[in-house]
Amino acid sequence: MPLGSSRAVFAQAGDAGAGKAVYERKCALCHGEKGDGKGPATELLVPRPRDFTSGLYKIRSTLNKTPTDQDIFNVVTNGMPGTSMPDWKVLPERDRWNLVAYIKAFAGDKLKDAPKKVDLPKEVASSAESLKRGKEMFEAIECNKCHGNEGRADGPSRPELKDEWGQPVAPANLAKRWTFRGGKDRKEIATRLAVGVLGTPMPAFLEAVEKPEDIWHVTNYVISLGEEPKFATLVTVTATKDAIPDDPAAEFWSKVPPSYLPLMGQVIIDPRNFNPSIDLVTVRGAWNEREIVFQLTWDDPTESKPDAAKKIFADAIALQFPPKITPGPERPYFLMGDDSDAVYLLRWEQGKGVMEATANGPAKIKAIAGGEVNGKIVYKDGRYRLVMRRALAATGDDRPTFQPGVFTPVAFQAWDGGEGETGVRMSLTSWYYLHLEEPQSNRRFVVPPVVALLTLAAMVLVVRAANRRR
Amino acid sequence: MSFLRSRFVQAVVVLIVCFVLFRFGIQPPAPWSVITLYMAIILIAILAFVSSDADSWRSFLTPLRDTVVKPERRLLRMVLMIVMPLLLGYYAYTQAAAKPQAPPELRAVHPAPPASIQFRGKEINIQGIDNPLRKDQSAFKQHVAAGGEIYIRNCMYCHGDNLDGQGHFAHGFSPPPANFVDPGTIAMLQEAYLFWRIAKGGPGLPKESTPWNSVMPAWEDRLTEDQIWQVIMYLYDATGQQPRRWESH
Repeated sequence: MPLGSSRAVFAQAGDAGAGKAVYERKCALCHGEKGDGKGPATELLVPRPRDFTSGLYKIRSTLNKTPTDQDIFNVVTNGMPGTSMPDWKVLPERDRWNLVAYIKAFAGDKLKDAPKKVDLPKEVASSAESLKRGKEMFEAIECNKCHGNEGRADGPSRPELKDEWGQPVAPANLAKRWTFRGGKDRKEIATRLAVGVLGTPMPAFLEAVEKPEDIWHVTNYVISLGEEPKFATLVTVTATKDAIPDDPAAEFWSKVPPSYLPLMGQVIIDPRNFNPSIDLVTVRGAWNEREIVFQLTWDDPTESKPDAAKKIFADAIALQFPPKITPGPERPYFLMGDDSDAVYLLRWEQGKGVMEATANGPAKIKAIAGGEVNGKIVYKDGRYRLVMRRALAATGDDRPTFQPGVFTPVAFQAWDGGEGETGVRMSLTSWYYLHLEEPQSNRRFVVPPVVALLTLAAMVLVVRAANRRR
Repeated sequence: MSFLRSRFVQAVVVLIVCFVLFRFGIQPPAPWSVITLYMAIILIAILAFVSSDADSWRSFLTPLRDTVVKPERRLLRMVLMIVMPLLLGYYAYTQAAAKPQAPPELRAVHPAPPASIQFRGKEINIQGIDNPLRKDQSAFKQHVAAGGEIYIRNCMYCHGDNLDGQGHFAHGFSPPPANFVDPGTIAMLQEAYLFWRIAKGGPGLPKESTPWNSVMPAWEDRLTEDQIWQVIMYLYDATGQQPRRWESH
């Protein structure tokens, strides 16, 4: 075969024999040698690796059970966001087509019907009208029953949802479309809505909506539920002269620029948390001459009522700082410090409220007596919003003083008690920097005109001098 | 193309070509501070060259002087007197209004290894030793397979299925997980060095490597000596890299 002919954009017939070698090297550790989804990593993964012998494919563009070869090829190529399936663009295209042929063979007769490709209705662009219709349809076809009123995966049916194999399965958080298994693009979302997601409780809606184009109205509405965040490298705390409100839902906070921080599972100390529930926290901060106030926003599908027998624990979140802000790079160990170096925590826990604490590692958290921190929490539609406030200055060796202009290390930890997270089962970040923005000065309006005038004056002088010398 | 004979035009052309080369020719892109430094050196070199003899210097200055004094260049002069102050003023604005950036985290990426470490109460030499499991060639495949399982159950979440440092948790941590496919990581290290790094993890780093920032666990708590050597064999086999050898053999 000449070079470059494998770049065809249309589906190619793969060679299952050649696919086997690639499969055993790249896929078998999760999907198993026999394609039954029972590789050595399976028990650690949520969702579990696909059992190819079942012939059930989540991501397909067809009305029947059989996906097109292109559907399988796309999943291999793009991976499945929000799962352990990475994209395999590193493999040559020919290898990926060979894999498609090999993977399909595991299902034997189950994929014998030819794929019946869905014809999506004519695309409708997003508009205020389309969003209104989309929201009506969203409720009419009961998307909210599983996905919740604001799409944050907190619908009343959530606890009962099971996949084809009886494993609990969470509805997608529609406000985080970058984690959609089949991709975040409009056409992908519309296709999932139209033909459903096999093996999960997500049904096909092409027939259920009133008019075919409603598929696009709902798609537009789903896309409007959340913006893809750009992750922060610095957490900026805005300076203000005004009083900072206690209410986490106050208008004030919508004007403070957010910092989006990704949270990861804690996998250092047992029990390890390979599949953390909380993957994102949005931080806003404001300070005035007296105090510093943080507003934290994060999605949590349940406002847990702690019940140890049911393995339900208190939801919680914490900000972590070194107890002293020193100029050098040294700071306590990121995972809540260690025996020799403590960290300072600003912590909210369900039922206990806001508190200050010192930790020498996750097992040694001690509340600071006479804490001067307070706050307010609101839970609505699958989302917590929390305000925590503290005086800028602090006394004692275990509490940092916040100073404008100084880069202060900060880290975050979060617990979704409803998903059994407590103690070291948490999601966390490594160290970031917090920066209290210095009050807006007029420098940026004064300096540029001065520079421009000086430049002009210098040029005039040069021209004059040169002409005089002539 | 007579204007190309002008020293001034030549100097400008050289400057522009150099800038384009530095800006787009270097991959991955060089930081602005480096480009600024390079451009300053080029500028000095050009000035030295054009001023090397009097004729050349005069030819270089002529277009500049003409622009400043010649009556027929009056319009150009006026345009420059408006544009230059505005450009510099705009530059001053971008500098004055710039948002603060997080300070850079300076750290030694591959610090010098210790001569030996304590592994679960047993002293293990690091300097000069090779992977003991490689002695028995017949067991090679078995060790690599075992290493693959250890990898996928423990390491994949950060270092990725592709061993490229792009695992599930990779984008959430700084410093980021090592990319084993990159020729700048395991390919330039001895297997014993990897043993040290895996056994002692982030907390076992020396201070110049900011142990408080690293999320790498100390695997001696979880893996046996043989398991660590097995996963090392898997890393080299799966990436097609060769371990570095000790020099004094």
